[in-house]
Amino acid sequence: MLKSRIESLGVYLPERTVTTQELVNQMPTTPMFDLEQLTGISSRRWRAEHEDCHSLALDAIEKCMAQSKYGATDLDVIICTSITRFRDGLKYYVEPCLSSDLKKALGMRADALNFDITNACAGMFSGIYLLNEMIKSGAVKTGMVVSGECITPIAETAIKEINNPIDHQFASLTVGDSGAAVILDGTESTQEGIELLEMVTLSEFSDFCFGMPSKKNSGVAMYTKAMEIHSTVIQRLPKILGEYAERYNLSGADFDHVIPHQTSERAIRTALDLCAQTFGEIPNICVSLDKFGNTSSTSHFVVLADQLAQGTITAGQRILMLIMASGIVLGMASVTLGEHLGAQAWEPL
Amino acid sequence: MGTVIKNTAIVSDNGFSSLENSTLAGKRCIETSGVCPSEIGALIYTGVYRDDNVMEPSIACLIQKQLALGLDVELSHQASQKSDKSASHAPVFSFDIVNGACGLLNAFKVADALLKNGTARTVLIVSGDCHPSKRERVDFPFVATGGAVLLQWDNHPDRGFVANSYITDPNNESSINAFGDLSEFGENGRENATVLMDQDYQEHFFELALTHINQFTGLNRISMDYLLTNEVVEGFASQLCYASDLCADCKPVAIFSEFGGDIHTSSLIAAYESLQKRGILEPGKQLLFSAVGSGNAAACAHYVV
Repeated sequence: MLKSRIESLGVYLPERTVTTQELVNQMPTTPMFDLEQLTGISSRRWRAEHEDCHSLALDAIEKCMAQSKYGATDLDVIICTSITRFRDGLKYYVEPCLSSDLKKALGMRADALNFDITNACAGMFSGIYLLNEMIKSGAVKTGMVVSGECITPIAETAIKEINNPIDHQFASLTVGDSGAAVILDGTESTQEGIELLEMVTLSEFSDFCFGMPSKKNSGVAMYTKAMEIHSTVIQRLPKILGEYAERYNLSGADFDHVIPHQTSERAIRTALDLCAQTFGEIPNICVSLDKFGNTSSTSHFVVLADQLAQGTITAGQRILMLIMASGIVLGMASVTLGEHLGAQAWEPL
Repeated sequence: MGTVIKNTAIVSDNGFSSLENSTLAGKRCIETSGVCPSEIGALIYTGVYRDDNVMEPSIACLIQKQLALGLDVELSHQASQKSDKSASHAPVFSFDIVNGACGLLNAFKVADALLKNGTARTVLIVSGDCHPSKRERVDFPFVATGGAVLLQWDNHPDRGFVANSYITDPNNESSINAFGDLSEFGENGRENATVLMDQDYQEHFFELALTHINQFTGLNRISMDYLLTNEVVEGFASQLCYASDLCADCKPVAIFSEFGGDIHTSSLIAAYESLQKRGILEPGKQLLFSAVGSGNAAACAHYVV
């Protein structure tokens, strides 16, 4: 049966590293808690002045294309899923869509499809979800999902504006910049592919997190009801995973690794401990947020590239990816990487 | 067999909030469709301009909540008993598709895959473009309108979307550039947007749409009964129809004067609805949906009623 697979992956992280302590030192009032200890995030990558969503996406695309057997004119569709849509500094573009210029820059065919998706941190997986559906239906043969996430502007705003111990902008201090791109194509192989991908939006909680321009300063802010999101997710994720486990006859033991969305170390481990009750334990939890922070829409793929570079994840291994995002969007993907991905030389990020 | 339009709704003269207009359109579309809300498995928002320039979450999930669709998982029998009976807890996946005036046809293509695969039984697509300030602005080029369309799969051999096509213009920059410059707007970033349209944007869009329609109809060789298109200026549909290779019997659907201007991402829904209201959409009628917009990009879809 035709399913899609990850044919190529490219991840780009900016060179500059900024530590959590450096951010805290810039705040007018020192937080009452140890932010690094609470989140598990020691550092994150920070864009250079000339970098924006477009350039971060292009850098990731370059790495992705270098690993791929496809050329630009082979791709039937490109989907861009950046949340912040910044170009030329803090210009938030709504028209044309970002994929429009990426398509031109890449040299894709004029009749190849392009569009953007906005779906918070679930953006890249939303793009993969739709491309997966289009490959399975026969609408397209191959395509790219890319996200250039220039998200540290929300941290810059948070540093200026946080003024109380339970400020809704604290989560903004966890983010890091990145770019990631994947190419998907179809396969009949039983040894690799995206075996399942389920996503659902629990809209009752759609107002728990907003990213929008600040009302106090020029710039963008993110306002997160972090405690409410955490409690909502840990109450529901075990039930949802349990339903998927039953539907697909799966358990944690069927997987070699789990890559959760990278929010905070404590939140991840709490959620997975609870999920073990309905889903069973998974041998290895993959985390890279200590070095790179929460890279939002690219998070799973930054971790995947990091773990491939370290040799922790290898070809043929089955990976559970847990999707959690504002909306609230929850979901899971089961991905087995093909031999061609394992055979490549992965540079450290 | 293919994806069919089950119902549509258009909202105008309802203020200047994209969210409220598209939500109301969605509500009316569902209520008059005969479709049970619990059948809706996906909700796609295709509007370009967003209230308060909200970047996260998706506008689709905010609309999903207002429509009381897929609010939560069923946590317990007691919880489901207490919940609003009109609300649907059937799972829904929602997201925004953004591609200027072509976004709606991109959403149709994506929805077609979801319906063909059986991943969703019904897809609700909504649209709406108002100034981010949610106020009437004379410098905003689009008329505040919300639209909604329900799509389902139909196994009838001769109905639905049968072909589609898309192109971008490789030779020119986008004729519309719209952005919020947060450095420039200061603390007023939520209320502002800069919309720049090239002096020749109408001509560029016309040329691209004309080229694409001729390519598409040349390949498909079907006599179309109606041309449905977004109208960037009054008379756009009829000029396009008569300049193209579409047969002499093909009639353009004009919407510009009805709404007093360009209604952007809601255009094709409004065009379809106007045919529906006139009672002339008999089975077998051949419709050509055409959209052209920023990028620059053009999209076509052939629909059999």
